[in-house]
Amino acid sequence: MEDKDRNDELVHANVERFQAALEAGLARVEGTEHLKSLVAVLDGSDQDGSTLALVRELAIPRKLAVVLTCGHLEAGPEAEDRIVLDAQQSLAADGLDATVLLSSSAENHLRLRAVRTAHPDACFLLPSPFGHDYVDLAQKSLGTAVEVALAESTAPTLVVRGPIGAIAAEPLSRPHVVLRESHRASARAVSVALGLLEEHEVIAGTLSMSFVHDGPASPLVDEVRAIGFGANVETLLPLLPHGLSALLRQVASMSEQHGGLRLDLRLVLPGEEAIDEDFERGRLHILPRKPGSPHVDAAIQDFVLGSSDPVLVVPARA
Amino acid sequence: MSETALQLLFASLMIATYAAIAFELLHKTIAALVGALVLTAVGIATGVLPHYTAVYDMLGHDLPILAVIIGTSILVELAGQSGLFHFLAIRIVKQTGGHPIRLFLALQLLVFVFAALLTIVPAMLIVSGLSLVICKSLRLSPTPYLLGIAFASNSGTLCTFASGLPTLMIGTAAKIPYAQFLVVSLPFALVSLVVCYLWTRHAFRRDLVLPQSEQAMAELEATVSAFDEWALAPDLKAFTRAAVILSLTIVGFAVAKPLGVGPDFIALVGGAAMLLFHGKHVEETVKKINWTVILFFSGLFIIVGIVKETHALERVAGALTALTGDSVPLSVAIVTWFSGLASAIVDNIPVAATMIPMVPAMDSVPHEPLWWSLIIGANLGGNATPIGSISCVIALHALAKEAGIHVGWGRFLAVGGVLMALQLFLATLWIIGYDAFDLLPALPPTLPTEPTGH
Repeated sequence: MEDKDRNDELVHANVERFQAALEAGLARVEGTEHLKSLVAVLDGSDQDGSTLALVRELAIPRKLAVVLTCGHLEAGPEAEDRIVLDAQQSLAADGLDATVLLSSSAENHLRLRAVRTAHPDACFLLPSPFGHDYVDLAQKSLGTAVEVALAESTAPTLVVRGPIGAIAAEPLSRPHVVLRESHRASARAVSVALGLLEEHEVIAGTLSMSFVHDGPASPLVDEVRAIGFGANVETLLPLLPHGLSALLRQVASMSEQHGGLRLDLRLVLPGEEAIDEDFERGRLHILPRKPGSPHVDAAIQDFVLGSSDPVLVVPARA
Repeated sequence: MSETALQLLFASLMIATYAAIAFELLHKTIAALVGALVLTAVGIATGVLPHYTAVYDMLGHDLPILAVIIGTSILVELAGQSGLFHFLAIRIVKQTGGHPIRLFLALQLLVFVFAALLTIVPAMLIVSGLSLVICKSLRLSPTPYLLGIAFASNSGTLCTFASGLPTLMIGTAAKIPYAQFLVVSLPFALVSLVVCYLWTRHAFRRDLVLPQSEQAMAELEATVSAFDEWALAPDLKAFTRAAVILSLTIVGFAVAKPLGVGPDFIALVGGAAMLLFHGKHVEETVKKINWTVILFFSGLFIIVGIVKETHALERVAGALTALTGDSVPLSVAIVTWFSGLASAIVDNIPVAATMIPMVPAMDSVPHEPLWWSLIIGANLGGNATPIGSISCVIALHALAKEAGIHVGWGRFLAVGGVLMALQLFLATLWIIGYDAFDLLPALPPTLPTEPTGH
């Protein structure tokens, strides 16, 4: 009776604990991961400016191949092609030779699916909400095309947000990884963040990491939360769930090996992941997408909708 | 009321309480407490007890058992929080390389050692969780593994004084020094583990299938090697402290007698040390002490204590003595098999509690072989049925809840019933052999407690 129920709960707790150890083993950070190529999807809105600014920042120093395409517009295929060709010209002025894909299918998500089949390893840059300039909608929905792209992609996807027509200064050099549980995508998110900080095989810069505390409240948790960024590794480790602590230990060890890598750590409660900063000091937020789910996690949706910075969503490796 | 009528009345009340426990009519703690209150009231009304405070004298004799339970609960809880046991469990499993048969053996060895060190329930909770995750990851059927560890854990309870609650109760009543367990019951525990492994491996031979190709074996190995044991030990300092305190406590149990203290003292010192050096959340830890078991024991000790006052248990012991005469082999066989079969039906704790007063009353044979018979019978009898031991109950519930597999009585009896028969048969021979070759160390005399009023 009660004893059996109690034992059932404790067995289940142990199952979860060992499962975390297995996931943590799979979630080993194995060096850095670099983006392979970019597919920028334009939609004719003012957000295209932000998308192209990020394309320049990512592609020029890393010499990445760039593909430009456009979503379905009411104005018709000619207008779509005009947008893509203008963007190509604009990038060419900066010495970037982009390939263009002209209009095809009418449905945005089908069009994106076709492009992804042709470029399975490319990082897609998608404005959200896709194909709309409506500020109200931007606060409520990612847009079907973005949700489908995030749910189906096996490569990182960059959701372009923010004040229309502009982008915060150097967000790519200020990666901020948000981790709530340990799985393969968590490790990959960290690898991608480290890849962004790596130049000529040297990792240098500041990697910000927010760990979302889902466990029971305690005075120690409140104390560490109150520190904000700047919590040290030893203080954080005992508060993290199994798996995340192993991940942090690996990153801390890499930080010791690479003298130029600085960690900026904090503990937050669910819903506190966002960073309230000046627009000029925007960041690139990196969120792992839990493997095995056919939908985008609510936590990712909420974060993207509440952010004006670009958000890179990293799925588990295929 | 005549003595016989009194004995029948109190024995009936005790059996009614045990029936309520066996058939789960009431939670066992509630059944024991209600039974204790009823027997106390009837005891006062019939003059068996002079006053209700007499029950405190009965409880007083068994306080060391409660102290061991409290001390080891704190130790095990805090050491568990440090990730020590989970860490060790994964380390051992990784050594198997995911090989299904080696894994089957490793899990049984692991639960055996954990049951010996931590008692059966924590051992089963940890190893059944691990087994379920491993079986799922390696796509193995969890039934043989879960049932295998359930049976093997019962062998582990024979290893030391504090390995199992019946062992602790009998060891305390018989004043068996810790070191004697290492000489008498630990070797038999190993024998019974070997029997368990060989029999369960044979019984589940169709489920324990080896991979068909080297590539499939390599995949199993890769999956097992992916486990990160350090992920379960987030705080290295806490991990080290827990390992040191636990090791010192185990050494303390072994040297308690030369130090002039009992295992209860060592357990409380170990628990207090763990709270002092490792206890970040004292309130939470203390809450996790199994208070229901402590209350269950308290009720049970009162019930058995009152029935003992009526000399009913002595009378049963006398009947047994009349049956066995001065034959040690016959006495050993009867105590081993009776306690084993009773434990297969009822919780083994009431069985042990009831039989403890009967052994000193069987005075036509030396008591040493009978105490060991009772320890082995009460601990291994539970292998026979799905309800016989807490380890089997945990395993069957875990299989049903976590894997959706229901094991029926028939399938269980075909494996567990045969295993119990094999183990009790060997146990009978083992104790008779030990006695015949004069290998059983002498124990201090244990006279039946003086009646308090009747």
